[in-house]
Amino acid sequence: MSIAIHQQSQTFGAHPHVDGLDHEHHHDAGGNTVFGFWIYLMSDCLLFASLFAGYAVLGRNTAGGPSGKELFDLKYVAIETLFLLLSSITYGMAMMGTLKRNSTKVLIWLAITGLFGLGFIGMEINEFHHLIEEGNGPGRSAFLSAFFSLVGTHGIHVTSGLLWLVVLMYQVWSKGVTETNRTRLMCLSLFWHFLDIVWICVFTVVYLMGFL
Amino acid sequence: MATSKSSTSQFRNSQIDPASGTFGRRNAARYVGGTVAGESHASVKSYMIGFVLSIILTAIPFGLVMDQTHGLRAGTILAAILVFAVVQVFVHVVYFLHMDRSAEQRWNVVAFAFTVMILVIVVSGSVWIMHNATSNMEHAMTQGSEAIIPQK
Repeated sequence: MSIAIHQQSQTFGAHPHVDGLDHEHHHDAGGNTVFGFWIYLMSDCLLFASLFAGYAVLGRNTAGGPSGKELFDLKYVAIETLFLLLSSITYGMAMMGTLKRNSTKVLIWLAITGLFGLGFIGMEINEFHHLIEEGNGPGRSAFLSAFFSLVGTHGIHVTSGLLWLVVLMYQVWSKGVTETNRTRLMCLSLFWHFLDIVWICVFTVVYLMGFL
Repeated sequence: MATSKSSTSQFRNSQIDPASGTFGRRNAARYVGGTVAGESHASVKSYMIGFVLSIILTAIPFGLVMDQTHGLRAGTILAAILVFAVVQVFVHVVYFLHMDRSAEQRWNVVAFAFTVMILVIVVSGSVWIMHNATSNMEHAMTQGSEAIIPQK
């Protein structure tokens, strides 16, 4: 045992980061924030997991009402998907702008991201509106309850992401790409890409599998 | 002796706070958070690769379902679109979230892997249990009401 302890202390002594504790002190707060936000996203992921589980169980219980195949328009969903995917890549471009602290570039790309996000959420609201108008609201069947909870929760997330985006655009516009604003933009970046990942599961499980 | 040796090598690979000899909170967070949203790993090129791959991985499953002239069976299409979804999730994780096997990313990856494990248990467990429940109920209905309680 004593040999092992000796080896351990040697390992510590040889560690290149021994005196690096204070060097990056400035970045620590941001790193903690981003990691904390990542943990929040993982818990959000579990929320979606339970909604997906609910949909997987109830998806075929149409109570004599219409099934997904009769309700969904895959071309429409493909355009929604394209909007969300485009907004992901434009957000990436905004993040590239933060590396050079170029607030104009960041603001332009964030605005484009916001427009694609708005397009997505507008199309989703339009879809929901049509479904409810035709009497296929969440109260119609267990399938539609699960559908509206799952897709609606994703939509609410995208909407809050858009609100957050507008607030951050104001922050960048008034204060520039500061260290604090970069941390905030990183958190929203994770949030935005995460919502895109959830959407991949939504269009696969809800729309494509519903159409089979 | 074997155990203490393996724990030593484990420490060597990890980012240990030399002052406390533990994964100090500050220490862990620095290595975790520093590059999380793609400070060092992100580039226009990586975003573009991710974008092109995503477009392809979205277009193929949509095409498979929308254009049914290829004559594949529903089961085959189902398996294919599920595989495409899983691959695309990984493409997003690597090219947009910039997760990799580096030491800075370790705790992100651990948290992600744990979440995926819980996710799989919750979803597949629900489907499995409810599928069994449904088939048992159907069985009970065809047998009459007394069959709901299993007869031994």
